[in-house]
Amino acid sequence: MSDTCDQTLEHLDAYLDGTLGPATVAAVEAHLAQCAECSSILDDARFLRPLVAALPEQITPPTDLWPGVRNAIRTRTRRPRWALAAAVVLAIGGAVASAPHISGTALRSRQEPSSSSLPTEVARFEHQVGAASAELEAAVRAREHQLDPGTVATIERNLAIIDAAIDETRVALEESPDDARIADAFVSAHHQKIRLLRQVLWAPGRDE
Amino acid sequence: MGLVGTQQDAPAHAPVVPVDVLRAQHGDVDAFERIYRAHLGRIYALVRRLAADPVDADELCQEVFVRLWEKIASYRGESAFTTWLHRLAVNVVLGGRRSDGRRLARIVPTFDPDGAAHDPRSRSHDAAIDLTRALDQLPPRARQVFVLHDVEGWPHEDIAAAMHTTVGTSKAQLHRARSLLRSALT
Repeated sequence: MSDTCDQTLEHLDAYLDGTLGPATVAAVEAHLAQCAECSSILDDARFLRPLVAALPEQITPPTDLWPGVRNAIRTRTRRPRWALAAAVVLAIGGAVASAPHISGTALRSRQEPSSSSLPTEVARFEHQVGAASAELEAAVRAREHQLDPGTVATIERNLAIIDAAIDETRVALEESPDDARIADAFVSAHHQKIRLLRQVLWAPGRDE
Repeated sequence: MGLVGTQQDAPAHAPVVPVDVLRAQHGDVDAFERIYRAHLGRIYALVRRLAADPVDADELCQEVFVRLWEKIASYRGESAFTTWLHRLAVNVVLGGRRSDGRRLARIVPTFDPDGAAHDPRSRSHDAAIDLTRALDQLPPRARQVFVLHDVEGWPHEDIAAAMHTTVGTSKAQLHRARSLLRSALT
């Protein structure tokens, strides 16, 4: 095979797709006219295209494979419930990631942590973010009447999920104060709540 | 307002992990079964075509989902979950093949152009069934390249990486597969 053969075969799929420019089409066709090997390769590809297109995208296995899969995975250790709740919060985060980051004065204000069995830094964080969260939540409640009832219901559901995650990760953190993964999930859940509330505050109302 | 992330409404820079995947990452078997049910048809089609043997395809497909359970925690949404899962499935099939050559020789028939031509089933009017049967008769490497390139749409660079070969070899195997298939089907 020559270099021209290689160049022609590079363009073969695009040639069949009809996506090549006129100059390249002319070059490909000029080569095909005098190269039986490349011409045969093109014929093979052209012949098979409709057959491949007719293949089913999905095939159902002749037997149900799930029991075998389930039995195999049952031996694996399950994670605790707090992790699941935190995971749901992460999913919500995908939708609110475009919301502005926390930068409110309430967050920047430094307050002494309340007494708790949480690690000191986490307790301080909770105190600060709790103040910001309460402030934002009050502002959201004040404009609830401006929002579509369906939107309000959705917000309530998501806030409930986030609050549950906060509660569960908090309990887990009190039990395992040195577990960095739980601390990350706890902080992340609080951040998600702040982002959600700020997004709601900025959302246009029914009359806007 | 959509408050739960989907692939469609998320900002381009924000990786989004489907909720059932997140749940499965943290041990939720019910969520994992939903993932299994949602993807089984496409994964089985891929594995069946790569493996060529129905019995072997069943075992490999189960192995794909068991491996998925083991690996799902490492999925971070960098690519679409379907794409990630399909690559995992290909790795399971190709990895199994590399690690058990004797099993491969036992279950994968050697291509026999004359035999295929005389097989009355290959003259069936059902083009898709004919192609599937002809695919099963191809040499393993040629079949795998054909399935990944022409059926799954993978570029040669990705095929070469998955099969631990070169782009040139992948292209040569594709031409060989197409030629053998056309001979078997005409």
